[in-house]
Amino acid sequence: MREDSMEVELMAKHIRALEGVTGVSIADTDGRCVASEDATYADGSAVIAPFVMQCSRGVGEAMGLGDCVYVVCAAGNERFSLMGDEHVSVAIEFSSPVDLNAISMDAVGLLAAYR
Amino acid sequence: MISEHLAQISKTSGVLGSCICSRTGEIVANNMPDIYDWDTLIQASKMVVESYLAVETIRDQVTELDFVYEDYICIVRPVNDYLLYVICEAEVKTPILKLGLNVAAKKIASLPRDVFIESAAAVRSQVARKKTATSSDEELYASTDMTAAASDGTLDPEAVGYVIAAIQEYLEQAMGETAGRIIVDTAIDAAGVDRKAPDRAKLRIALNELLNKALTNVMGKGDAVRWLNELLETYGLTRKD
Repeated sequence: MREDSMEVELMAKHIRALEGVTGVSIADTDGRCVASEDATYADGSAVIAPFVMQCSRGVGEAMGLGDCVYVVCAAGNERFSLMGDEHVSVAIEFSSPVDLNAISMDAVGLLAAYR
Repeated sequence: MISEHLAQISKTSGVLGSCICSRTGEIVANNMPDIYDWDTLIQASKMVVESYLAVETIRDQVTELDFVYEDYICIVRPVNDYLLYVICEAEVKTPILKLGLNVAAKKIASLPRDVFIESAAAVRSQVARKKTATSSDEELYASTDMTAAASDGTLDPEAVGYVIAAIQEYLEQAMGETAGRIIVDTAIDAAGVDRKAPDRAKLRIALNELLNKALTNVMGKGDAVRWLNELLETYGLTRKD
């Protein structure tokens, strides 16, 4: 994906528009939040995504599970998912209850489309 | 006592195995398949812990992490001061599994603290014993025909394919379809074996990995060496060729 701020903002809007999504934040490779659409924890979630994805990919590599597509987190009543590639990391917050796996896969598809 | 609860989790259809580690990554109890050696589990546990702690920096009361892979899911749950993680197939019936996990997690959480400490000590002892045994194994296999099979050049991909398929079939029968496939694919991929143009040295690394761990675990050291050497000879993959 090109590191174009307008493109990143557009991607954030597209993901935010997915049904069940209540907030989106996107961070760049330096861990700076570069786009946010109604995200409650914009400065935190996307920033930790690269590290969490790196760890989950490490677990997958060590245990022969393949590549990690996304990570779903539950904290209290909140649920959010993290994903990303070598250029950007994305955190998505959800309303409850929704099929967050289906939405996460849609977001992964959107992320890939922007590459 | 903890292991019994993990064994119960692992009985759920689609579950490959489960493990409990401390927040420093030390393994407290393990019910993962034998395909995962201690080094792998220790490495995986540390990364599970690090990702969990990273999420904890932005949210209180993290109740679950799901690492979603293409074909598998790793579910991570906090249990007291420890983390329980379970590897399952992606198509597993998640609500049933999570219901079972809730029950198991509550039972494990109710165990006295001493049980966790004693279990961790037992694991440390097992790891130390295994590492000593592994050193001996490496010396044993260094003197077998398998090592002698190493030389430069590529091999007949069809013959190599038959050998790999035979090993996988054996392991699938002994350890289950999923476990057998994973261990063979992991060994082949880790050694960088190109199945279309297999390099002899890389294949040797992969076969030694399979020999030293999975095959030895399911059929014993001596039988594993004999079986593999006969298999290689059947397909003309010996030093003289």
